[in-house]
Amino acid sequence: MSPRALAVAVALFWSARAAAQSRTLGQIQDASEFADFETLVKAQVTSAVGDELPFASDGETLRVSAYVTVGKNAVWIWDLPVVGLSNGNIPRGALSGCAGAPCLAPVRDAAIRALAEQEAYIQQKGLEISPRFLVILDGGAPHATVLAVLRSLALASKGSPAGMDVLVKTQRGLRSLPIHVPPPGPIPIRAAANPLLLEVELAPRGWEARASPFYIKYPVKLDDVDALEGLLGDLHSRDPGKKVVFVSAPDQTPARLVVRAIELVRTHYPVVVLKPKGPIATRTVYR
Amino acid sequence: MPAIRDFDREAWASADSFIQCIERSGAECRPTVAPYRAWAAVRLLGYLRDGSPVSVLDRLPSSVKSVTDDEPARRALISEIASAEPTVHVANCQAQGIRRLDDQGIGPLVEGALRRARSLGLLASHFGRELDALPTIAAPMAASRVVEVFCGRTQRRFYLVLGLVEGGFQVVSLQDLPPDLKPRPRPTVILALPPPPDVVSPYIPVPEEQL
Repeated sequence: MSPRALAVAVALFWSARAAAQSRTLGQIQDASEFADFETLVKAQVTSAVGDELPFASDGETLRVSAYVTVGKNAVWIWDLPVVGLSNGNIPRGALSGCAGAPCLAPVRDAAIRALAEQEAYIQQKGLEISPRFLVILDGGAPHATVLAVLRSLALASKGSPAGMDVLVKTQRGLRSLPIHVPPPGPIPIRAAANPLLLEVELAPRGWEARASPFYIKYPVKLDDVDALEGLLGDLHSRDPGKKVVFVSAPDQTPARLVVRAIELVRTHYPVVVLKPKGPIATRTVYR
Repeated sequence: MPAIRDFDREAWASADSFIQCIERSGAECRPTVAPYRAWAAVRLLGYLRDGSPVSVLDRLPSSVKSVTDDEPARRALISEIASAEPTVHVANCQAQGIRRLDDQGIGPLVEGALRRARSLGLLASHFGRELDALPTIAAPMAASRVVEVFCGRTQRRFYLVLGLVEGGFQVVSLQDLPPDLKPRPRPTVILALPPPPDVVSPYIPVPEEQL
């Protein structure tokens, strides 16, 4: 190769390399990889719940959502505290009736605004998704408080509740577990239907499982994870079409135990409905 | 003893000559040298303080670019003038009032925005250095003025935002609504999310056979 050809080749190499580098930097900045949704969530976790975020072995990838935090001292919508808590408990008189269900009105009102903001963001970006809530829990938050917050979030939209996910830490980073709450009134079920109505309730030692008599005649006490998984596996193999499980717990049960139960049941029953202790309210409909 | 400057008078005079110019020549009148980056910084500070975290995050890359480069805010002014042109061209427009952008200056805005950026974890992110520099970049808007303009022939009203640079006041933005630095009200509309068809309940969005 002549010296001139060599010089041209070197010049071309360096200019191609420079172009490639600037393209890469541009792409990184446009994608704002250095400050993404997880940055916001981590900042909120750090300031509101610290190391108390519940642990799970796995979960789903985070979706950009309006985030809500149930900490020891407050409930936050985004990064703004909206209701004070006393060691995770709702102060006396703070619960009010919203559409016939007990809820925290300031949480519902702030959640309405957060959903509207999230919807505006989705519209502006032209995304084909619905706004959701990501719920960040202090592992010690009592089940009753968590339920009151979830019910308040569910009442922040008309028609149906926005989707909700609970944030968990896993060995692979932050993940989420989708959850639901029961409707304010009884669940309408057709007379001809054969629902499983599986419920797993946290007991002082282990769990208690209940379901429609067709599936489980009497409540079953389960002392360890293997027994629970065995029962869920049996039920699932009898009717793999069933997807719903209700998870209940006494009012003061810490959120970390409830999250643990969600994790155990969702393998076979991915639609997890959190509810207070007590029977599942249903009503028969004819249609 | 140095003479005390009358900022209102100076800003009014600048706005007057700008109005006369856009009535004749439209977007040609945008100033070449103006505190565009300072105005972009003020707007970014407003987003930071009032926006939802997700939208703040979304705007951050382009907004940060605007505070390091005059061009985006200059282009925005050109587009604002261009859209106003049909109603201001030879429309007998006159300045009618003048006030500061905010009575309290930009201090409270800066304070609120940086507090928010810290609570959102953004000061510790890749954007931290740029966000830290915002108060300095926004400083030329501390003496900013808003001039209200009314065009008699078309009955059009608009507002000019002027920032102070070495050569005097320069227009950085033309707005339809009176601009200020007060916190923006948050939306209160209840969102309607129609339930999927044939589900047990809007709360349990699965068909009955899956219950």
